[in-house]
Amino acid sequence: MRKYIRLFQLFFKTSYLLFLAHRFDFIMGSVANILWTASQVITLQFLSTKIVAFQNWGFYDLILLLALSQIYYYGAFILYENSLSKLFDKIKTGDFDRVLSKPVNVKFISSFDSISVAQIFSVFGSCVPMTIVGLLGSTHTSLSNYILAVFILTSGFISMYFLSLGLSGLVFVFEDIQSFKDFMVSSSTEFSRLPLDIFPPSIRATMTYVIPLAFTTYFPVLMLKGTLPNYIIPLCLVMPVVFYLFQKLTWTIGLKHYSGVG
Amino acid sequence: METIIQTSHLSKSFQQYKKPAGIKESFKSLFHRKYFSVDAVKDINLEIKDGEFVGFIGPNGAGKTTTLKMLAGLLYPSGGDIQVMGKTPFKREHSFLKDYALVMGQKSQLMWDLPPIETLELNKEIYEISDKKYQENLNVLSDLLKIKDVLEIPVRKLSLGQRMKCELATALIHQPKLLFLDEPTIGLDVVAQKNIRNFLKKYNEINHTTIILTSHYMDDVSQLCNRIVIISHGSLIYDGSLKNLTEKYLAQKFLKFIFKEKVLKKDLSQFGKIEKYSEDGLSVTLIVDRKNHLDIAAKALKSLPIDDLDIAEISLEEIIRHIFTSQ
Repeated sequence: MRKYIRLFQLFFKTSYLLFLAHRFDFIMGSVANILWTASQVITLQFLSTKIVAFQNWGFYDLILLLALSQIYYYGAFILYENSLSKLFDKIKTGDFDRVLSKPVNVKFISSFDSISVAQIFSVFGSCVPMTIVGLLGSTHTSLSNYILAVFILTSGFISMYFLSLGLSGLVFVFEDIQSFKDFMVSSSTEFSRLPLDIFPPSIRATMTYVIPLAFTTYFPVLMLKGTLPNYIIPLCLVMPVVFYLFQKLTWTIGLKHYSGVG
Repeated sequence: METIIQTSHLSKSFQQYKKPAGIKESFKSLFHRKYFSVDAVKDINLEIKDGEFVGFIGPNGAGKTTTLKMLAGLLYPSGGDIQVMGKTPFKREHSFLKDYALVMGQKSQLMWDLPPIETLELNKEIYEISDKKYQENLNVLSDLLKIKDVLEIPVRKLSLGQRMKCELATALIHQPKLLFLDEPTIGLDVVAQKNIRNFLKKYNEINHTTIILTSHYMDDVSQLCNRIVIISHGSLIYDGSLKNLTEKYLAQKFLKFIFKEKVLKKDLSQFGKIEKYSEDGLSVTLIVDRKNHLDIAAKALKSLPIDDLDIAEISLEEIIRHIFTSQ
C-alpha cells in the first residue's frame, strides 16, 4: 500500500512538472470554467423561479446539486479519466507493453499515471465556492445527515470509477469503445446537474443502477434535504461491489485478448 | 549454468479479418467479417542459460517480437509451455516482473518533457529499490554510459544516442537478471551504435545478465551474441553458435563480375552457384569454393567479356539473407 501511495505522489509530481511547462492552458481553462459556472448559475436561477417542476427544489439546493455534479466531473477527470482516456492510444501505439512490463498493478498505472493537475484550480475556482454557497443557503440539517451524504457521495464516486475502469477494459476487445464510454461517464453528467425527479422513471432508474451518477449528486442532496428513500443506504454498499466485479471481468478478458503491436 | 528460459512447443496465433477496399465492402464488413487465423509463432523450443547473450534474427513479421513478448509475459501463448526464471510469464507475478527489463528501441519510457532523472526516480519506486542501492546503481550506470551530464536535461533536448543511453540506464537501474532488447540501436549513427554495443558487452561481462537481443543490424549480433536464434515464418530454423553458422559459408567466396556486354545465365552456371543476376545480364554474383576461386576467376576472365571483377568474403548479413531466401 505504501508503494502505491508513494507512486501516486510521484505521478502527481510528474504531472505537476509537466503542467508547469504549459501554463497558458491553465489560464485559458480557468477563465472558461468561471464563464461556464456563471452561465449555469444564471440558468438555475431562472429554472428555480419560473418552472413549476422545480418547485420542490430551492435555488440553493440546485446550486448544491450543480456543485456536486462539478465535483464529480472534475474529481474524476483530475484523478483517473485523463489517464484512462489515453489507454486506447497506448494500446494502439504499443506503449501499453511498457505498462504491462512493470511490477505494478496494471489498472493502477492505467488509472493514475497522468493526473490532470490543471483542473485542480477549476475545483477551487468554482466547485468549492458553489458547495459552500449551496450548503449555507439550503435548509439546515443534522450532522448525521452530512456524514451519510458524504458516505453516499463516496460510494457513488467509487462505483463511477469502477464503471469507467470496466468500460476502459473493453477497449482491448472493442476499438471504438471510447466514445461510448465518454457518453456513459462524461456526457451523462448533464442529467446529474438537475433533480432526477423531473425526469421519467426510466432515466431515474438508469442513473441509479446503470450509470450510478445519482449517488454522486442527487441522493446526497436528498439526504441533506431529509427526503432520501430508505433503500438507498444499503444500495451504497452493493453498488461499488457490483461495479468492482464488472471491471474485474472486463480487464481479465481484455488482458487475455491483448495482442500488442508487431 | 542454470536454465533461465525454457519453452516447449511454444506457439501464438492471432485472429485477423480481411476487408476489401471501398465503401460498399466497409459497410458489409460491419455485419459480416471473414476472420482467419495467423500463426505468428509455431512450435518453438528454446533453452537459454544464465548469462548467455542470445541474438534473435528474422525478417519483419518472422515472429521475433511476438516470441520476445511472450517471454516477457506481455502476451498469452496460444499453445505450449513457457518458463522464464522458474515462473510462468503470462501470470505476471510482481516477483517475476521485477527480475527483468525490456528496452524497445522504437518506444521510450522516458518522459519527453522532463529530465531522465525523473523517470529514474519513478522506476526507483516502481521496483522498490533502496536509496543506497539506487545511488550505487545510478553511479555505475552513469559512469559506464557517460550520461552524468545529461541526466538533468529534458529528454526532448537530448540526441537520439543520449536518449538510448538514458533509456538503458532507466531499464537497468533495478539490476535485472534478464534483459530483453528489441532493436536497441535502431536509427542510431555508427558511433552511437558502437557505444551502445560496447556498453552492452561490458554490462553482460560484469553482471552476467542474460540478454536477449533482436536486431536487424548484423553488426549488433556478430559483435555481441555468442548464440543466435533464427526465426522465419514463426518457426525456429537455426539455434546455435555464430561460429557454426558462418563456418559452412567460410568455405565459400563471392565472385562478382561486371560485363562489357550481356552474358546469358546458362553460360555462367559452369563457374559456380548464381547468387544474384541482373535483369540486363550485365552483372552477376557467384558463390564459389574458397580453395579454387582464383582458378575460376582466371577461367572466367579468359572466356567472358569481363569489365570488372571483385572477390569478397560472405558477410553475416548475406548468410542470413541466403538462409531466408532458401526457406
